[in-house]
Amino acid sequence: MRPTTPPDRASAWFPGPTGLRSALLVLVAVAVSAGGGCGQSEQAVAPAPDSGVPRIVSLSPALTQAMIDLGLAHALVGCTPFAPEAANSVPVVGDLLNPDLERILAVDPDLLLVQPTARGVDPALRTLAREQDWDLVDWRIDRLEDVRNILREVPSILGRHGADEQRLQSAVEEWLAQSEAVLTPCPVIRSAGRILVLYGVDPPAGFGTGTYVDDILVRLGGRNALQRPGYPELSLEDLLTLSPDTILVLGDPDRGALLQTRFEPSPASPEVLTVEADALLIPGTRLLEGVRTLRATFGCPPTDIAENGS
Amino acid sequence: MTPRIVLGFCLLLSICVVALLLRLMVGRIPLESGAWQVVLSWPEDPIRPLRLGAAGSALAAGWCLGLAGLLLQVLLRNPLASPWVLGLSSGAGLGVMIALAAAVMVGVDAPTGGGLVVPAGCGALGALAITWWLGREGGVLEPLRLLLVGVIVASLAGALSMALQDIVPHGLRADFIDWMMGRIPEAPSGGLLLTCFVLAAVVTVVATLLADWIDLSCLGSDEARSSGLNLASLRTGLFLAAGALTAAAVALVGPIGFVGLLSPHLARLLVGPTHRVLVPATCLAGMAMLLGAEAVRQFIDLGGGRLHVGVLTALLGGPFFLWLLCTNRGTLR
Repeated sequence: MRPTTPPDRASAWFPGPTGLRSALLVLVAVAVSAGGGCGQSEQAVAPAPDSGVPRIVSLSPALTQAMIDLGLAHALVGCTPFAPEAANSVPVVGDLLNPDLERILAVDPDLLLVQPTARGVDPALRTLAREQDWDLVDWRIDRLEDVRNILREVPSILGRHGADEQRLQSAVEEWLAQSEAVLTPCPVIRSAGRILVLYGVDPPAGFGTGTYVDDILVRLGGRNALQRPGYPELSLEDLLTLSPDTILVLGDPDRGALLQTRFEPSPASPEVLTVEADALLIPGTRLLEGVRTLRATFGCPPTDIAENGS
Repeated sequence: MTPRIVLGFCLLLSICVVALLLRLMVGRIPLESGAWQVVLSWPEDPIRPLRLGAAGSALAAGWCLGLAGLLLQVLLRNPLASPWVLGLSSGAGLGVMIALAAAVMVGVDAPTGGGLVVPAGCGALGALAITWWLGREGGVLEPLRLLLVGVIVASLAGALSMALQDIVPHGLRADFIDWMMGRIPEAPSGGLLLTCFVLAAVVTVVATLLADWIDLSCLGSDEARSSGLNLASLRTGLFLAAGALTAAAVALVGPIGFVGLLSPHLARLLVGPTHRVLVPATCLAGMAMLLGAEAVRQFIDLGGGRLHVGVLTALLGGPFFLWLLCTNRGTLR
């Protein structure tokens, strides 16, 4: 599993253990009715025009989560299939790679939030936005600072579309203050030596330099053992030659246990820790929750704001 | 044995040994700059078992794929036949996609790496069963029908995989693509590795013992029948053996192309078309190709990790096949 699409998104889309039958029903429903997403009709949930609430389409799970966390879930009129649970009733209008222009047209947004892929924003989407006079905002989210900058821009952008800019400004400032608190350097992490953070174990794949997780690690006083850019795939042999002091596995504890079996127990073996923090797999507002879990895993001393989650 | 055959075997064996030594000795160490430096050294514990695991997996999969390719080229009497024409690769891919999608639906962690062995094997065997069932005419496997059914099964399985990709998150799609490019496991399942070796060894021995019949079957249906050969039984045997070898290899290393297609041609080039020597030579060629590719890829890192072995076999195998074709080496008729 690569970062940016945590498992909980998908399971949220398929609630409960109804399994294959539900999925087939969903497939059939999608196939026969061109409209609707997450099992809902867009007509049923889209806020009425001119209601004073901006009509937002988000083509990024991270940005969708940010809107929800800023109290704007009711303003969402379109999202991707793997949006957070709170957006279950919001119509699906495609995803980052394949925006469904017809559906976006149907929900008629004021504001389109896009996290561009490597090839940029879909030109057809850009053209449509220009023709329909929609405000298209595209943000790359690679680094921790990207998340912070986006949040700083959000109040004024949404304010242009009728949202309460003052309230949003307060919410953003609170988030930024919390982020400063939870990112306070932690002596335990500093003394943990070189830390390798993995988002996959079979094959191993890690967060290198220039990623938001590397930024978080550095802010907490840690040292990233993987000093190469991006999200490279590694071999088991690479893990041994990198010889990190600590390996941090994001996700299910079984994954950490699987990796642990690869190392002979010896004083030189790295400590393998598992952090059940899907929030760290998405570079968005929920990162704070992920960092809190990370701090707790290492046993960092609490920070007033950080640990009470206010 | 003619000198040409002896020379051919010596060459294939030498390539195998060199590739094995290279795979065992080549490694890389991280530099302060973040780059990796390739180093050649004899591995010590705990790295040695990992390199032995990778070398063993490459040997087993190369053996299986090479032999399966040869059997299918005989069965279909088509030099373009490879383990993938029967839809096994696509079937394995569909098995993997079903496993990923099912995990998403029930809300559990999706399987990765070794966890994909079972679904891949089941998918390959499922495709094999369908191709087998529909590829018969009057109870007998017909090469042309088999080929057509294989192509259709592959297309259907591919389309279903694509459909299922729409219901899994992008991250899992990336995992699926990663699996499709093939991966030689450093810590393979012991049981699966043993299965591959035993299966390949048994099929090699049996095919070598039946080499005269296989030679006869290459003459054509009428000639083979007039010589007293039970063509139906032979075709069934070839089909099942090739299918089982491919399913085992796919379960172990994923769908790796060109090894099954090229190994028989390389072996024919070196030892000639007689199956008594061609069968073991093809096994060596398959092992040499996959082990060689696995060794060479240790030197190639374009930034996202080492090049996938399936990509390398295609990059090296494609031009080699074209060279054989353009220079009319007599193996592609």
